[in-house]
Amino acid sequence: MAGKKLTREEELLLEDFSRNVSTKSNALFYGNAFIISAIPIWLFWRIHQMEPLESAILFGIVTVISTWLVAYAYRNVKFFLKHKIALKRGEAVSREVMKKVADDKKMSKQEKEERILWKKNEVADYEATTFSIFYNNALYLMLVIIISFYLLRSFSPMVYPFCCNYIGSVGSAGGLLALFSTSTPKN
Amino acid sequence: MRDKKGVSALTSDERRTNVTAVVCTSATGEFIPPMPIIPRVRFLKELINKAPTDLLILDGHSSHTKNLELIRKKMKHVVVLSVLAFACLVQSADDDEARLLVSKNILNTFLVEGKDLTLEYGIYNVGGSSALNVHLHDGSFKSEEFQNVAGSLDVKWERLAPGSNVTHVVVLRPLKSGYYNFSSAEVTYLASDMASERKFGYTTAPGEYGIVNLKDYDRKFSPHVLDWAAFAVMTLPSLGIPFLLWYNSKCKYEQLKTKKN
Repeated sequence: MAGKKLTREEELLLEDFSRNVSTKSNALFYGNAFIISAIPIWLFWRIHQMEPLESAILFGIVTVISTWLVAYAYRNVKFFLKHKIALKRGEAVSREVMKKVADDKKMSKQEKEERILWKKNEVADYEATTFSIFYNNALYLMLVIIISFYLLRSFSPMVYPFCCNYIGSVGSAGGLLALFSTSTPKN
Repeated sequence: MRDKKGVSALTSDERRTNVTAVVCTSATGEFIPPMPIIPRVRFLKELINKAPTDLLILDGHSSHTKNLELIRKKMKHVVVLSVLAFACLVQSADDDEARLLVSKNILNTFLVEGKDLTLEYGIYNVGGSSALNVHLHDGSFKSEEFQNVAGSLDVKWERLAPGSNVTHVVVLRPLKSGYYNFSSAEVTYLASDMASERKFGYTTAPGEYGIVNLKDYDRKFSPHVLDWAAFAVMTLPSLGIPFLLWYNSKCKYEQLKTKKN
C-alpha cells in the first residue's frame, strides 16, 4: 500500500472518516470561533462595567483560549454530524447527481458513482459545518449569559477581582462547549 | 422669662431608634426624670399619627437652654426629645412667642452621584404668635461637592402664623460618591412683633448617608436595554447566517427527496 497512490475514492473516504478538516474550513471555524468569543466582551464592558482598556490583556488571553475551545467544539460536532447527514441526504444527493449526468452517455458507471460520493461528501460537509457553527454559537452564548448573569451573579459587582466573572463565565462556557462536543451521540 | 435667650437644638438620630429615652422639662421649669421608652409601643394612637418623625425643639425657655446637664445627656445618649416634650411645649405656648420646630429630611432612598437628591425642610410654628422674618440658611453643602439643581439654600419667609407650617424643598446633585455627613441648617427669626433680638436655632440633621458611585448604581439598577439590543444585533449574524445556510441546504435536499417519492 505504501508508496502507492490512493485512488480518488479512497481519498474521499479517508477525508470523510477523519477528524482532520481542510485549511479552508479550519479558517472558517477559527474565524467564527473568534467572533463568537469576542462578543461577550461587549457584555462585560457595557453591562458589567469592566473597563476595556484596563483589562485588555485579560480579554485577549481569555478570548484566545475560548476561540481554541470553540473551534475544537465546532470540529467535533461537525465530525459527528457529517455521518448522520451523509446518511440522510444520500438518496436525495444521488438523485440530483443522476439527474444531471443522466444525459451524459459517455460517463462510466464508476465515474457517476464517484461523482455521487463526492457530492454527498460535499453536501454533508457543508451542512455539518453550518449546523455545527450555528449550534455551538447558540449554546456558547446561552452558557455565557447563564453563567455570567445567574451563576456568577455575586461575583460581578464591587467584589475585588472584577475579572472573576469574565474568566469564569467565558472560560467555562468554552470548556463546557468543548466537553459537550466530545460526547458521542447515542445513535 | 427674664432669661429668655437663644435656642437649644435637640436632635434625633432616626437610625438609632432601638433605645429611646425621654427627657423633659415643663415650661415652669420642673423636671421629669429621664424616661426610657420602647419606641412606638405605648403611645396613644392619636399621638403617633400626628407626631413628626424628628423634630427640633426651638424653645427659648431657660429651663431648656440653660440646663447643661440635660444637653450633655442628650449629646451623650442621642436622646430623642419626643412627643412628651412636644406636649409640654404646646402647653407652654400660651404666651405671645413664636416657637419654631424645624426638620430637615432627605427624601431619596438611594443617594447617587450625579443624580438628584431631594431635601425637604419643614418649619412648624407651635408658638402663640407669628414668627416674623424667618430665615432658613443651609451652609452645609459645599459647591465642589453638591450642585444646586432647584430651590434655594437660603430662604426667607415674612411671616409664619401660629399653628401653621411651611415646607421648603431643595434639589441637589451630589458630585462625589462616598459617605457624607448631612448636618443641620440654621434658622433665625423674630419671635414676636415686639422682639428685637433674633432667635437662632438648628434644624434636625439627617446624619451620615452613603452616596453611591454612579457606575455601581448603573451596574445594579440600569436595565441596559440599548446594550442588550446591541448585543442581539451583534450575535444575530453569527447565529443567523450559519442557520440560514444550513436550513436552505436542508430544505433543498428534503424537497428533492419528497418530490421523487
